[in-house]
Amino acid sequence: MPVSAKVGSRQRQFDALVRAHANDLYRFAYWLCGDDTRAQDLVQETLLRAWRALDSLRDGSAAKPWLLTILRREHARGFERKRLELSELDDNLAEDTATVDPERAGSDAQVRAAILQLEPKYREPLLMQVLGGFSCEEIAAELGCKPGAVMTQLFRARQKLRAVLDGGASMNAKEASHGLP
Amino acid sequence: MDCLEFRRRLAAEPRARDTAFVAHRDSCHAGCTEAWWRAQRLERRIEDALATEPPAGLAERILLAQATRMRVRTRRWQVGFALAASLLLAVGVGTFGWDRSARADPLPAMSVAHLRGEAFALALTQPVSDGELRRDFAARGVALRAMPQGAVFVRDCDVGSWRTVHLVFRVNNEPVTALYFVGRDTTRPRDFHHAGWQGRELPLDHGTLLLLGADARGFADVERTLRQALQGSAQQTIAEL
Repeated sequence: MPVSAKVGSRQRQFDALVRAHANDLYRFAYWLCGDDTRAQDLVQETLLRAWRALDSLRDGSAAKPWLLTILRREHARGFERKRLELSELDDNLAEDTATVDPERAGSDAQVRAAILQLEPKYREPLLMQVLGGFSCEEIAAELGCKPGAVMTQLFRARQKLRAVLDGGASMNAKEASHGLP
Repeated sequence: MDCLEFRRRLAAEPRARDTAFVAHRDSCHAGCTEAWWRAQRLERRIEDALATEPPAGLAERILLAQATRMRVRTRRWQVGFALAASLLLAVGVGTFGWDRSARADPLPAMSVAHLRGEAFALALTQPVSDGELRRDFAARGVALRAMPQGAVFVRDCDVGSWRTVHLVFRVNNEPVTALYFVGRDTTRPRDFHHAGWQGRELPLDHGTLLLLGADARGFADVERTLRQALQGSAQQTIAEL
């Protein structure tokens, strides 16, 4: 029957979408909200919304940014309802890192804690860029601000991470004054 | 691209690959190449840190949730469909019953009911165009031989199961409704009174004309103009003969 063939095709498209993007969505969601359970809920709600709006997805290559946009909006709605407390930095972040390369200093756990410590205005564009593959212009369009402002947010996000990782010790005078790599 | 611009770009987009950016990286001797390497290492650290392991079976759980919701919705839809079908059946039976009762004394009741449904037409005062008159009669397969004068409303309407042309005329500033039932035979004229409306039913050309008004004073004028519109004037008839 034509009807069942159409439903089957839609379902197959959805299956492929879920299998291709669920993990990326989870990572994005996790770093957005900092909570495993909430992240899983977010991914599920995002994909179920995507199912309902699947007909509006016309280009397969646009699927990931489309899903991330849905997820961000879903998170924003949830964020209004419940503000989750961000986890505090571990005490061992203060360990001496002066003898190692700043970028290699600290474990992944420290980097993760540092990322979660970032204010949302810095963390969100960073996640969109690193995990979502968005350009500055695309992030600006999503967040409703200018590309220059996004570049500043990304720059500050990395500056803060770098400061956490090197404990501020290895920043040379020029970097300290200009904040540039 | 100068060093400052390069460093700014590097700080915001370390993975940038555009030509000017790469060219400066490869040609600068003021430390930009080293800065690029440091930025790449930091970026790698960030990417590694962000690459958290998703929970096992996440995709399958989502697909299961979606399939479950779909089934629940399908069941709801089926229940809704069954209710709608029952309602439709009830309405159908009711309508059939009404239709039968209406056919027992069809025209006055159906016509007054239809008039009430389009009561706004009674308030119109601006004459309709000849084009509208010609079009709506033509929609019922009737070619006008003259334009009926004084019509302020015309529409091809269904009254019960009859195809009609619904007109409103203003006679002495009072509305007179005319419903022309195409193809309906009436043996003899009759006047009636129904639900506060004065009415007249009469044969006209190949159908029945039904007139409704507050009183019968405007009926003769409307009948005359419609008879002329449908049958033509006496001169036309003679000329055709």
